[in-house]
Amino acid sequence: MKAFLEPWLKPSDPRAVAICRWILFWFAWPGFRFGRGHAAYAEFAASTGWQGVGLLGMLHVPLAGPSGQAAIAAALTITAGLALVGLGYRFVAPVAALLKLYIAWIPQGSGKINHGGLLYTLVLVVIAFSPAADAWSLDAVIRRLRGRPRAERRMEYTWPIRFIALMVVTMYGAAGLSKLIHSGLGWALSDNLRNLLLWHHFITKPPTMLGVFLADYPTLCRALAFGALWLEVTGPLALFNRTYYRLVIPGLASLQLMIWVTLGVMFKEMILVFACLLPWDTWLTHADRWVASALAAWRRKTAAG
Amino acid sequence: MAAQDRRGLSEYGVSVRDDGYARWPGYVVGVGVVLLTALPVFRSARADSFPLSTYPMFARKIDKPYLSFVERLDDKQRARRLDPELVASDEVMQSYRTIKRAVRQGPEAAEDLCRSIARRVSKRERGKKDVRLRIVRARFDPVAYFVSDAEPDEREVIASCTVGRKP
Repeated sequence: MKAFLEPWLKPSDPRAVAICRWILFWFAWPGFRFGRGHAAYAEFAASTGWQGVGLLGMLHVPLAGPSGQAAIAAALTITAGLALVGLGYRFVAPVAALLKLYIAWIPQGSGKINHGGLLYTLVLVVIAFSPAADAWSLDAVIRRLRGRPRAERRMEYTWPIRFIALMVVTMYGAAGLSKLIHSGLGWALSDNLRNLLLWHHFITKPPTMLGVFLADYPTLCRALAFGALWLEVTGPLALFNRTYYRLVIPGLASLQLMIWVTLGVMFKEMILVFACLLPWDTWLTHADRWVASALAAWRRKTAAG
Repeated sequence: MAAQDRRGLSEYGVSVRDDGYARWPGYVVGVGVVLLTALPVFRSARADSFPLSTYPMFARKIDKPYLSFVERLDDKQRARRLDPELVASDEVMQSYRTIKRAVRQGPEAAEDLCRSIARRVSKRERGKKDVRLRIVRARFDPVAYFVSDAEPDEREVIASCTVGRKP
């Protein structure tokens, strides 16, 4: 239990969670890419059999028409934009996260869930309720102008990123468990991955022919499938061991990359979630030291000159 | 922890209460979100939902899958598969599932979908003549298809319609 709890209590740089805010709300901000795909869907959904799914479906949340969706997208553009720059973050970020949840929920009524957006939508809610605008934000500038101190390293800035990691390993762990429940170990130890690699060349356009190449080696396919299943099922253990964490998180990110390269299924939102798990805190510490030593050297040089 | 003055205000001027009672909501929300995320895995894979999934992706073993797709036939009867955004959405799997669902619902639903797609194709391909769409369901052997360029084991045209004219 100590191994699980200790990393949550470690102080972190407020700028690390601010970077996550930038990454996640940049993607939630639809102003620059509320594109033709969504517009086509709005037109399609209004005229065909659309059915609301999940909790919002149970609550009978209605489907907005094309103009209603455009209005919601406009509201999302404003709130996510404000959350991005960190102005009134406590109020606008939760609103933006909920609007994004609605916008992301609409296409799920087609009968196919877009699994790439699952984790991102939940992570956005987590970051919306975190103190992610205490640094590198307009809120922070305003606080400084009012004479308040600059935000410093505290453990309050650790939990959001740790919680994102917890969500990542939970979701992958559940996905691994699902494979075991529905297919058993045969998922990895049969020709399943081989067929999967080839099947996707019928319905998607993988960016490479690596899947077809790998399918020529059935034993290698089984080994890769077993490795992927192992990584997913044992992923949650990463939260109890720092060394395993350093193996599992890049491993899951690589798995996601391979899914795109070989199957052509790009969970683009996952790139953002994994980007939040990069060691920003360590990098910022190194960057601060480097800047401080460079400044000291420059001052010495100007004083001597 | 942030330094607090006698009024319980932190250095940011925000009231912070930190005791066992104050932590409980955090524990409940934290553990609750994790359980909500993980537990749907024990439900039927068909009950997939958003944002809480049953994780059916890639979970079932694949042998010889049935695939449904939309073909565009030009005036020389050359067939080409249609882009997903003309079907339903630029998300490939959602478009694929839309076709699959229409096929499963029967010829009438498939013809409705065909006409709906034809309207979008017509907007994009203004002026082109004798373009037809076909919704096809076929069963493939993935290995044979790639190794020996084999035709589908089975193939059935579920619906067809004309672009730009009434079918």
